[in-house]
Amino acid sequence: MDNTNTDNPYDVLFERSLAVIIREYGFDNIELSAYHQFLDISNTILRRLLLNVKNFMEIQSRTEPCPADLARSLQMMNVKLSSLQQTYNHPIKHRLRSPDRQTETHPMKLFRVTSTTNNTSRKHRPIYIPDFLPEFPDPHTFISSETYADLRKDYPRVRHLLADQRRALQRSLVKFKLQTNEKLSVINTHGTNINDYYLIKYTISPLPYLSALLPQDQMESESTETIEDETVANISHRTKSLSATDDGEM
Amino acid sequence: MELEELRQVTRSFVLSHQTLCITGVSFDKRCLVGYTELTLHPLVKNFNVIKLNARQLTIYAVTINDERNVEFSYDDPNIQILSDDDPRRDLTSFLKRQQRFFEYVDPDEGNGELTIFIPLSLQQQEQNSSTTNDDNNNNNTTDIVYKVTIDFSLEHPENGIHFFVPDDDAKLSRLSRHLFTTGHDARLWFPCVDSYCEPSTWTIEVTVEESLTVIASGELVECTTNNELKTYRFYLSTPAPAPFIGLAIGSFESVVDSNTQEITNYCLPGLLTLLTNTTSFVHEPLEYYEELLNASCQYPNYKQVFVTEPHAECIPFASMAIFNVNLLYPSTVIEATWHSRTQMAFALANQFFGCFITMRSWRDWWLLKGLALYLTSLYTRRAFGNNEYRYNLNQDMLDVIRYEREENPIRLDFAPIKSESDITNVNNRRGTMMSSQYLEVAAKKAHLVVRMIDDFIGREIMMQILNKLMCLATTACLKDAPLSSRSRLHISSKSFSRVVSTLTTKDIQALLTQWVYESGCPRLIGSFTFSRKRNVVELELKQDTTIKGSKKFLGSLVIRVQELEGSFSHTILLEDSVTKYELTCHSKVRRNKKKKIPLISGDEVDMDLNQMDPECPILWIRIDPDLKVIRELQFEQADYNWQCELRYERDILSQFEALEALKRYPSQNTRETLGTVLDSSNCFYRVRIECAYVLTHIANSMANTWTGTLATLSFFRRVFMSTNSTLSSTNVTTSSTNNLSLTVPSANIVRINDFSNSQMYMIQKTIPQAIALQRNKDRVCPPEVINFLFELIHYNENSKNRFSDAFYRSSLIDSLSNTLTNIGLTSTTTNVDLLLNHTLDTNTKRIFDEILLQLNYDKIIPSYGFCVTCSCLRVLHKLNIISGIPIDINVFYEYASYGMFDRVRLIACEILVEQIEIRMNQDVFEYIFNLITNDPDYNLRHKIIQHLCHHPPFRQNQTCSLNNPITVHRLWSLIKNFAYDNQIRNDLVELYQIMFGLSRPNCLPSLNETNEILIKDELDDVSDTIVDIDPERLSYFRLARYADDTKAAASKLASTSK
Repeated sequence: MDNTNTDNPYDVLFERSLAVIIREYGFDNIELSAYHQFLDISNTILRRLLLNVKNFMEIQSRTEPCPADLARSLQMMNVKLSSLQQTYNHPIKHRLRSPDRQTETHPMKLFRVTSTTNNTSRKHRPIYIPDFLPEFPDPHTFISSETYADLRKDYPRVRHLLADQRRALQRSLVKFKLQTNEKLSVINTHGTNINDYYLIKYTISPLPYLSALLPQDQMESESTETIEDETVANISHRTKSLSATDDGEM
Repeated sequence: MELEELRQVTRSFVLSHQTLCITGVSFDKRCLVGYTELTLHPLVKNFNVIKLNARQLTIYAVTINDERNVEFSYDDPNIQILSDDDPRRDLTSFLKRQQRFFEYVDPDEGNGELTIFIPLSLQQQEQNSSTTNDDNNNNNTTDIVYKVTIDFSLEHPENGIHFFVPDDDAKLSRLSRHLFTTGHDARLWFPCVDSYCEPSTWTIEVTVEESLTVIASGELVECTTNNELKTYRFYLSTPAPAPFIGLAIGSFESVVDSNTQEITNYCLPGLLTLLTNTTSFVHEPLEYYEELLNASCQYPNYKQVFVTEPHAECIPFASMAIFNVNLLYPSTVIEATWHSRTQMAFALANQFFGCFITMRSWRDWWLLKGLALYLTSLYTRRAFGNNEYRYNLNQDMLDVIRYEREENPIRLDFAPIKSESDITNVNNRRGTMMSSQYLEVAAKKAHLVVRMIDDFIGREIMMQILNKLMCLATTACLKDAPLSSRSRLHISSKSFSRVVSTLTTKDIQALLTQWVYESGCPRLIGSFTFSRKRNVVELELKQDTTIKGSKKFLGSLVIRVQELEGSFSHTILLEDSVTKYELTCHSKVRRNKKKKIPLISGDEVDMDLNQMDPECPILWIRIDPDLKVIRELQFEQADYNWQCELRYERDILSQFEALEALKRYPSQNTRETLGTVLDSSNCFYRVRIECAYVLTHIANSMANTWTGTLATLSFFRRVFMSTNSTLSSTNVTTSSTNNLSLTVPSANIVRINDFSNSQMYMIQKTIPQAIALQRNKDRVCPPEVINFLFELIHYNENSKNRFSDAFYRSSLIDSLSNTLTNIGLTSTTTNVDLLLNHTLDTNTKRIFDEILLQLNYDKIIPSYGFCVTCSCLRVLHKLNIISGIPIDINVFYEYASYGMFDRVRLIACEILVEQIEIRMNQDVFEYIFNLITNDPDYNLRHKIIQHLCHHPPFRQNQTCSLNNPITVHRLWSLIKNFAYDNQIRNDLVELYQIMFGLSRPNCLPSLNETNEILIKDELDDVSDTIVDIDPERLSYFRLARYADDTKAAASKLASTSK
């Protein structure tokens, strides 16, 4: 995108939104001059439209435009209102996927590791591949299977998930330790029954106060915090890189 | 009076300086080698014998003034205090004998284990010099100085010094080896005058390997390195008695206080971060005490050492203190702060009263203990707030009253019994022979008594008196101060009351007689009626003197009446066992109920007076609102008065009283009042917690008519749980109890933990325990509550919290145990599978599974102090006892074994002791006895015995499978074996008394009369060889506190000698 004469924020915004529209129509690249032409045309059209609206408004001796003014101006400019309706109803084929629609319409792609865990370079295919061809598969799709995880994110669900995961972790950790370490039966079985109630046998430490006074349970949360910080940083970094590629391509 | 004091101390010499030199320390052999040099000034003319204290030492040689190999005898009667062939096995004769032996070696009686005979040649020298001196000046005899040097060694000490040597050879374990003094029994590790009233200056020299650090009383003046050996030399210029000499050696890590350079803290390797966090505040109490007393600390520096396995949590010494390493805590743990800081503040208070100014004899123990605790509580009041202070005070008072009612009378002055037939209780004896439990409660009482003195004479004057004592003592520390002035470094009850009467006109003697020299505390029963005609309150106070440990109280008492027009205090005089008072009322019954009512705090509040008796303007009455008297109180007023008091009175003690009383009035009104107080955020958190408990109590007693959710539960949901998305968040804080309890519980999830508000944290932590006590009509915990608790555990999320949730988790586990009820499920099936999978209640099974999970998880990822493990073990025990799950006893053995963290061990041992109490298991009993005999951790041994005293398998010769001759012999031999650890021996003796009484145990066959006569008390004729004392010299050294006193004493002495 040409940034030399765009000091005016309005212009910048306008240019960008137009670029987005163009891209939504499926143009991944466009020549600069053509783009400028587009820009001028749309600018003129909009200007014309606004002038008309203003005139109509003045004729009706109003100070604020109303929808009727807009409708009449559009008619004056030979735009059929029904066609507008059609454009509105008929979605653009190549509209960018919003995350919501994605989860609803393409459950198959849910598990696919997109930008969140994958490097951005892999996601975008080169321009010479037509867009009707399917996307590249993710580098590790071959080990994944279909999942139907519900990614709706309301608070109780997140908490529920978190708690379940934590408990599962605790359980499996204990189970693992019970299998690898010596164990001690909790129930006095009188030598008859085998039961499932065991404690991990304690290994005597010469300095028992060290592990007691320097507990590890808080460490866990600190480390997750740092991980979370990292992920936040990654996300912001990713969004930055995303917009950068967009700019470059325009 | 002075004469009596004189007689208390009958040593024939004065110690001016002592050098303690430890030339070798071996951790592998657990021994010390060294010598000590005492500089003595004789007080008597024919000074031929020196008696010193020394136990469990090997004495190699004694040198006096370069005279080598002086004759000495070394005899420790306490070793042979019990002979195995004494078949009587009764405590009465044992106690008699023990008392005699204590006197036999008591330094204050001029006795000791080590007797050194001064060679004739030296005696002659002395006589020569003294005769020449006598011509010139009678008193100028101080230049005769004996320097007594004693070479000694200490091997495998049982007490006095504790060696901590880990078994393995890992680097950290080697680094963590250390030794330290375990208490105030100085005679157990070096020869000395083991008395609290013989202060001297000290030089301490210790030579150790280069890697080790030495911390000792005094100022480090020199540190030299020679051949990989390092010599530390400490000098203590402030005179201190031998019991307060402390020593610690180890590879300690240290941190200097960032605010005061004089304070240094030491800890074992690896704990430095904790040390920095824990000790960051220590300068605060120091500055506070100095400001309060208007006197500076007399020691040049102060050292805090944190060690493992000390005999007590906090042992103060001169210019240093030794603490248990368990007091250290990371910044993420909340509740450890209060306790740790109090302990450290207490040790610091001892640097003023306790170690610096010491007790003259054990009879004055209460005064110094009380003063140190008094200073500590003043600091904690400032640091933790007035409410916390008053709460602790009340708890102490309740403890004291409970002990006096249920156990033994507490006589603080520890006076020796006049006739030996008076021995009715093992604790009714000399100070060194008390059980630890007794001492613990006595310390609380001592604090309360000192506080009473403070109330009696006024805070300002109290501080002046303490300042005066400090100033006097300070002058004794000056370089050129005469030796005689050192008597100012110790105070007694009598000297203290003398100072009080000179500085004020008040006499505290009556107060001391009531609370110190005699035991017991009054029980007051009160009620009131209002006479409208005369507009007076008719108050009736009765004293119940029939119950155990009660005592008639005569004196003034404050009554505070809250009327409609305000709060009015009346002081009444208690004279008789039943007294009636008429207190004039200041308010009229008023029609206009809208007016605000002024409270004692100055606030004016609106009250809902609709339920009030329209004929009576009295809202509530309080007796002795400021705990000025140690008393048990039972006051009758209508439930409306109590509800009002709970709701509007701002004093927390009053609120606690009201809560206690409201337990008796289960009604809808009570329920509402409790709900309001629980909700009100300006209430002290302990009141709110107690409120939750009382609410559960009320709900249980109203179980048949109770409708709706427990207010506590809905309160918890509202405050600590996330709301439904349909409810706006603003609704949460303002909406009342009722409309929120309608929300579906499963939609609520406890919020992620945020413990930044510690009061809310305490509430969040404790309220589930209160809720768990709820029972429905069938006397079981409602399933709703159990599910609620499991949800709390399930959804507990601490990842965003700055603080550790260890104690919160352990509290939730305690709550689970609170839900367990004994509902007659006495399944006798031995088929474990059947029991666990079919017979057992599903909720119990669920709890059992959860406990196992938490217990195992805590082993993988430990919580602070293994608090989760401790809670889990308690629940396992309860599951065993109440629900009949056959828990293998080996589980508790495992947790009780050496090598576990000591708090976990203690819990496991306590459980084992309770198992003995319930199951009478001989093997467990044997195991516990083995622990008491052999365990390396002395503190644990103490604690086990104390717990056994609380939960003995049987009392007073009850029939029981354990009440047999084997137990008697076992316990008897234990008492016999603990020759060096008085405290354990005293505790064991108490246990023996609890189990068998004072006389011969019933389970033993009776002795023949003839036999009994044959057993002669061969020790009856122990004659003390106390040398004659020259009274004039004695007075010169001992009585120089006040010039007037000295003169008076001298004239008295003169008159008596005539």
